[in-house]
Amino acid sequence: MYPQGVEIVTVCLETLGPEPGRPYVEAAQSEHPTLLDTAHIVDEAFGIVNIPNAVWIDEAGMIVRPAEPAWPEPRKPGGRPLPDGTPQRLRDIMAEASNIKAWTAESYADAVRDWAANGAASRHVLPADEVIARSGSRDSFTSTAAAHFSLAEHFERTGDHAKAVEHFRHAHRLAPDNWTYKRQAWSIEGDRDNPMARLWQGPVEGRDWPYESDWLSDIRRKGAEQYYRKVEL
Amino acid sequence: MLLSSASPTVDEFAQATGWELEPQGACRGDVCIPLPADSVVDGTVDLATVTERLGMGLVSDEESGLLAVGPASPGGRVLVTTEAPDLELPDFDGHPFRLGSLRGTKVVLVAWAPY
Repeated sequence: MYPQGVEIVTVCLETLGPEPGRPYVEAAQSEHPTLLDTAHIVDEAFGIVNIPNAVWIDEAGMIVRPAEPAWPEPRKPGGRPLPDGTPQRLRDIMAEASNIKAWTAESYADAVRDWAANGAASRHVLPADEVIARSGSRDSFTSTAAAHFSLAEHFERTGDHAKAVEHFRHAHRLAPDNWTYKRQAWSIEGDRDNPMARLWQGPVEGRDWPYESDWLSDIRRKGAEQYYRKVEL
Repeated sequence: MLLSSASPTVDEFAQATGWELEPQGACRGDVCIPLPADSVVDGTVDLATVTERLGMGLVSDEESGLLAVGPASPGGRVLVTTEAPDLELPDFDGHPFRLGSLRGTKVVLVAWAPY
């Protein structure tokens, strides 16, 4: 959307480095900046707790919409048929995923286009106090979770997976609503070079599972409708 | 954010956290949080006092000696100001990119992941 005056900047939240995201980046052949955030610093800076999320920043560097779920178009219920032989856990994951609501009745992409056309006069631009109010809650627990996540990322990156798990567990306990902290940790317990295995995010027969929960158990407990918070465009 | 020292200088603290320690307190954008007078002595930050006052988590990994600090939470919300932080992140080829370099342009920052 650069010709219309809006630059898209994508940030890949991936502690394992650039390789897992590279096939997606190359397939997209994007011309916009495509950045990598191994330490999830945008989680800290903007309050991103799930993906995909977006933040709007105006020409003066001011946030005019805080982090919020950002599917380009409203998600529709239902899913594609799965091939024969798909493991039951993946079938269950896809069934739950099909019930996830992104909560926007309107098109998020249309809202961005409206901002491009109308700038500060766009009805989607929020006043500063509303931006702060909508930016999510933060307390000493979630702040401490972020500190633990920093240590987990450091240990994972420097090859001490057991220490990383220890700090991931603290982060999960202190910030139970932060899905990126959990999805990141869960997705690297299995075969981390297999993109499908990274969606498994739960116990594998014959291997220890070091976390108290997993994606399927968590979403069933919380309810798929709570996976993304509601967005008022 | 990892800290390289348990007794950071005001510059090191600002670099790690985005909060500048001024005579009137800890400041970010147009927000300043008052601090006790002895929070900074000879340019060195009293980490326990300042992090406690700003609602920042402070975690020490005893085995490695590493320290990490979480973001401030003085108002109970993620954002204390709408001024976007000037983050620097690498692109997929490792080249650093500063968000602030896009000043003058509208930006939609989109977070995603391959998991």
